[in-house]
Formats: sequence, structure tokens, C-alpha cells
Amino acid sequence: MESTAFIISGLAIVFVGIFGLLTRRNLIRVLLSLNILSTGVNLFLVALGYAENAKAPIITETVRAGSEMFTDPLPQALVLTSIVIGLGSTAVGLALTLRHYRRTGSLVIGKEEDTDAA
Amino acid sequence: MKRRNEALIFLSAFILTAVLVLLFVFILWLDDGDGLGLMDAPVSERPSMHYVFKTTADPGSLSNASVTPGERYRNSAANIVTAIVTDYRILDTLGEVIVLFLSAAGAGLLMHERKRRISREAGVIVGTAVPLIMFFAVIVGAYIVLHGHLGPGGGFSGGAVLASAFILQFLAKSGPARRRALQFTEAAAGLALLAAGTAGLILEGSFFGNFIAQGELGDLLSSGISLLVYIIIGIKVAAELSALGGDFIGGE
Repeated sequence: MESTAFIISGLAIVFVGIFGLLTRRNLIRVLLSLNILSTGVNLFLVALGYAENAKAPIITETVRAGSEMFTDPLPQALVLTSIVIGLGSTAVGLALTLRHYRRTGSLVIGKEEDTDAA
Repeated sequence: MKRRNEALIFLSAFILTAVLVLLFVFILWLDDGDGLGLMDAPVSERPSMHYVFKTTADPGSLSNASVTPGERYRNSAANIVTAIVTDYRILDTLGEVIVLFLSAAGAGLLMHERKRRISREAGVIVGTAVPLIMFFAVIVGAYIVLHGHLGPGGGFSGGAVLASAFILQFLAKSGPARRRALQFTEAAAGLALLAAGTAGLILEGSFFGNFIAQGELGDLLSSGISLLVYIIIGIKVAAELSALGGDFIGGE
């Protein structure tokens, strides 16, 4: 039950990101929506490996594999990669935004005037 | 005309998102327990428990097995995520590091036509506080990098903390970022990562083979190549993100 709630909230964040991507015209806000979307996907992936009453997959003196159950470590390792790739794509997107701003003097795509609109 | 377009875009986006949400709810509604089957296997029976128990035996037969501190394993990193990222799936991590390098290089290239910004000295408060904060930030970052195999942390997160310290310094000092030194550090770290892999190939017969002795699980100097790889990645990520931050600060 807990993990279902976890998955649903992750996907809700994905939908928020999709909605932002579709409606915003300011490039900074588009990038923010993209980051929200990828956060939702990361949450969803981690949720797939969630188990109730399980510990984080780190072996210590008191928490040992075998006596305690661990959450699935594989999605967590995958999400680590996904976060780094998200950072890289955001950096390239911001650089492109900066270039667009220098060329046109506006952060808004798709129209030339009315720069204060979202 | 323009206003109507705006409303149309908003409405269609709303409808599309609503359809996606409804589709998802519908699939959940239909799911009578054997839907996609992604969540069916209990975590204790999934294949990734091989990573947790550090063995290739069938995880179902391991109900009495345990992995304990003070023992030696093929990879004795206490943090299993680190064991996966820096040992079992090191090739994925190598690709990830290359992608990060490419994106940093691409962002630097896109911001090539840079105007000199009007440099302005930071105020007294910032100038006094930044060295203090940087001192602690570097300590915390080094701690996170060095303890990646024992607890939460590792080269990527620790490198980001280290980079934040250096970016803070770029903000306080108006002078140009020391791009040369950063680029050299980054290139040296990348070469060191490949050299570690090649050393494994020569000494152990497989790329990124474990050529460093595994310590006992739970020690600082344990987990063989994982610690080395995370230190190299920490240095590389710190240099990369500092250069990226310096580009953005100097860019406008």
C-alpha cells in the first residue's frame, strides 16, 4: 500500500512536469518543468524497489543482510546515473537559453513581443 | 488572435494531461494483482539480492546467510549501491562520466562568445565569509567522497559539494576563473579513471578488474577499486562543475 502511494505520487509529479512542458513559453520555466518531470521519474524508479519495513541497503554493525530486509539497491544505482544525466542536460539547456537570450533579447519562445507572459 | 492561441494551447495541454492521468488511473483500476507484474516479486527474491548478499548463489536459498562487518568479500563495500555503481556496473558509470564530460564541454562551447562582464569586487561580508564557508564545504565534500563506500554519499554528490565551494569563490572574487587549472584537473582525473581500468585489465585480466586488496567490510580502506574510482570521480566532478559554474558566472 505504501509503495503504491509512492508510485502514484511519483507519477503525479511526472504529470505536473508534462503539463508545464506543454504550456510554458519561458525557456527557464520549460527547463524547470523538465527537471520536475525527471524528479518524478526518479521517484517512480526508486518506488519500484521500495519494500515496507525495509532498511536502506547499507550494511552496518546493527543492520545486516539476512537478518534485515533491504530495499532493492538496483533502482537506486540507476537513479544515481539518471540524476547526473539530468544535471548535464539542464546545463546544456541553460547554455542554449543564454545563447537564445543574447540573440533575441528575450527568454520567451514563439513570439517576438509581449515578453512578460509566461 | 494571440490570446485565443494561448487559451487553445493551455486547453489542449490540460486535456492531454488529463487523458494521461485518466489512462493511468484506469490501468491502476484494472490492475487486479497481476497487471504489469513489476511489483509482484518480493524484494527478497529479486535478482538484485545477489548484489546485497555478494554472492551468485540463488537468493531464495540464502535465508540463513548474512553479510557482516569485519569479513572479506569479493567487493567489501558496506554501501551496496556503491558496490553496484563502482564495481559491478562500472562500465555504466564510465559512460555516465563521459556523458557528464560531454555536456560540460558542450555547455562551455555554447557559451564561447562571452562578453567580459563588468567585474565588481564583492562586499566585505562576502569576502570575509567565503573563505570560512569554503573551508568547511571542502571538508564536508571530502568526507562525503571518502565515505561513499561506507554510507550515503560518493563521488558524484561529494564532487557537487566541493564544486559548490569553488563556485562560491568565483562569486566572491571578481577575477577570471582559473580555467586552465580546472581543465587540467578534469583531464587528469579522466585519464586516471581509464588508467585504473587498464591497470585492472593488465593485472587481473578484465577491464576495471579489482587489483586492490579488499579490506574488511566496514573499514575506511576497504572495497578495493570502489574507493579509488569514487575518489577519482569526486575530483573529476568537482573540476567539471566548477568550470561549468565559472562559465555561467563569467558568461553574462
